[in-house]
This record gives sequence, structure tokens and C-alpha cells, in this order.
Amino acid sequence: MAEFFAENFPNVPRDNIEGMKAGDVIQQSLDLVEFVLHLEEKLGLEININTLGEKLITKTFGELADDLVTIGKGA
Amino acid sequence: MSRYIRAIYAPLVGVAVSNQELLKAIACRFEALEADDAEKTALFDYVRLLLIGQRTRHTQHSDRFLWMDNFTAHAASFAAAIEESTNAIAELIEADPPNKPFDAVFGVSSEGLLLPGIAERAARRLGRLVGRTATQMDIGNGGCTASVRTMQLVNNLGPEMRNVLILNMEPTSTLIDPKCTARSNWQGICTFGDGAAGVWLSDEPGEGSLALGKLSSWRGDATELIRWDWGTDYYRFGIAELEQFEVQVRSQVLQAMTELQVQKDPDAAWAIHPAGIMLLLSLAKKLGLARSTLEPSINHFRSCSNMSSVSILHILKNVIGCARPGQPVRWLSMGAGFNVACGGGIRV
Repeated sequence: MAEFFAENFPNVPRDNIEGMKAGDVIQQSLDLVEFVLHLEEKLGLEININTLGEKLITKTFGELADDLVTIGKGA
Repeated sequence: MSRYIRAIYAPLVGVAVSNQELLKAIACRFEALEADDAEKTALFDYVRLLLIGQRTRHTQHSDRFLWMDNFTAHAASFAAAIEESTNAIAELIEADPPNKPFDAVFGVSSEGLLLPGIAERAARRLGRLVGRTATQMDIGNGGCTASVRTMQLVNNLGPEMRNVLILNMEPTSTLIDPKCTARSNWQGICTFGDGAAGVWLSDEPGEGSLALGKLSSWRGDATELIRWDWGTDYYRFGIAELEQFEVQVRSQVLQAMTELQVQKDPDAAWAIHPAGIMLLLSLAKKLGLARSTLEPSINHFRSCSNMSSVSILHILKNVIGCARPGQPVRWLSMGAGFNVACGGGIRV
């Protein structure tokens, strides 16, 4: 996640990414999709946006990471 | 025999509604929605996710389109939208009419029914441009691939069908069920927009036309994946297994691309149905397409959202218009069935 934001959102401070909400950083659907595709590529998972659902904009990146671990275990 | 896309008529119908305007309208509608607060909050967060960023869609219904609550409202809205779309396409045809009458007119829509049908209504509206002995028939329930699959059908007709007009009208807003809390219903509401387009296929080339090549389609096993559900009033958007939707769609499309042997032609200009940006970007990677190749489809999605079978025609009009003589043009569409349809041609 940090790698994605360093590359695409260089102005976002990276010292507390896990505490930030994705919805506060990602404002465009294209960026959201790029973010999910980046995670898929790095984690080797297929991610349904509907599986993560509104968590993508209401949860922090730290909480999202926990959810992705759960998805990864189920894959 | 050779056939050509002689013209694509792509009017914008209805009024533009931005993501922000739609979110505001939905927030207002949710106040009257009969559901507990926790369910409403979660559903509204889901809607916020679907409406992130700058995107618009067109709606042919009035500003009360989130308040249709009986069969009459839905059916009347469909009839009014078809009349508006017919007139909008007819005006474009009349501005530069073909020099011979159409031998056939096909009306295409997946949102409702009318008797007399779209084809007969359009033929009456077009007057001398459609002979009384011309074939006039509607094709329904084709979903997002209906336009290009109808083109495939016409391409296989006998040589006596020299000039054929296909009229696609998808007033998707007429399916909005504002009382239903199912997520697939709200995904449809946030995804789709209303649209209309016509295609003139001819056996004679003209300036800027596209010589049709191979057109093909494929049906996968996920027949229930995209469907119309229904409530007490009318039909509404439905999806089987919403949580697996994107993965299943991608899987079906990739399977189809393998079986249809979709060519990775680096020189081709592409029109891809904007079923969603995630699918577009995934397909581009699989097809080895540069991001710039997707711009016509992404730009269309930003300005019109997903107009079901109409979208690919609006994108194709743009792509053909920008293609240079001799350049290959390809298209790829996918939707209910589960169908994947592809085709291509050479810009004359």
C-alpha cells in the first residue's frame, strides 16, 4: 500500500498510512481501481470490489490490510 | 458480400446527472426508505463507494426518477423515453439522409415493451426513409451486447437487405426500484445511464465508413450472473452472487477472448464496453493494450456511465471518426447471457 501511495500520491504523508482512511485519500474511481489492481498484482489475489464493499472508503488502510489477510487465507 | 457501417447516430438524450447530484438525490430518497438505520447507513456507504469521483450519466425521466412507485410510472417513463430517443435519432438521420430507403429497421431495448414496437414507431417517424415493405422488428432482452449482436445478425442476412437501420434505446433509469434495499439494485442505479443510438449498415461503402470484418459472439455458463429481478411494481437490476461479480465477469470475458481468438493487434483502435473501469483496465492488461487505447471507453464512461448496449455505439462512432483510412478498428462487449461479443473492420 505504501508503495502505491508513494508512487501515485506523493503528497500524502506516509508516516501513519495504516491509520488513514482510504476514502480520505482516494477521490476518483479510477484511482480506487488502480489501487485494487495494484493490491491484486502484489498479493496474487483476485479482489472483488464488492467483497470489500464500503470498507474501501470507511476503514483505515490498517483495517483494510487485516481484511485482505482474511481474503488471502480464504483464497 | 461486404457490409459497411455507413453511419452511427449517437445523440445524447435526457439530462446529465453528476455523481454528486445523484448522491444528493439518493440521500434524500433514503430518508423515506423503509429499512433500519444500520442497514441504511451501510447501504449509503456502499452507494458512496460506487459514486466516487467525477462521472455523469443521463436520465430521460424527470427529477422524480428516484420516486417511481408503481407500474404506470415505470411503463409511462419507458414509453416517453422511447419517443424522445426515436425523435433524437430520426433528427440526425434526416439531417443527412441515405439516398435509398432502409430495407429493414430493427428496434433494440432490454428495459421494457411497447406495442407497436420501436421499429414500427421509428418507421412511422422516418416516413419515406422506410418503405412499407421494409422488415420492421424489435429485438429484446439482449443486454449490453444487444447492439453488436444485432449487427452480427444483420451481417449474416441475405443480399436483398442492402440498407439496414438498427435503433438501440436503453432507458435504464426506468428500472430504478427506489424501495428495494438489495445492493445489486443500487449498484445498477449507480452504474447505468440512459442512452440511444442508431447504426446504418449498408452494402455500399461511403466516406468514413467501416468495412466489416469478422463478427462473433460467445455465451458462457454464468447465465444468471446479470439479470432482471422484479418487485411488486416492475423489473429491477439484479446480479447473482454480487460478492463474486467482478471475478466471475473477468473470468467469463477471458474465457471468451481465448475461444473467440480475439487478436492483440497493436495498430488497431479499440472500443470496449464500459462495464466498469476495473474490468476495462484488467482487459487492457490481458490484451496488451496501452492505456491510451482505452481513453475513448474511459472518457465515455466518465461522461455517460454505462448505457448498456448503446455505449459501445457511442464509443465506436468516436473511434471510427478518429481512425485513419486503412486502420483496423475492433470492439469488445460483454453482458447478460453471459455474452461476450467482438468484431472489427477496416476504416475505409
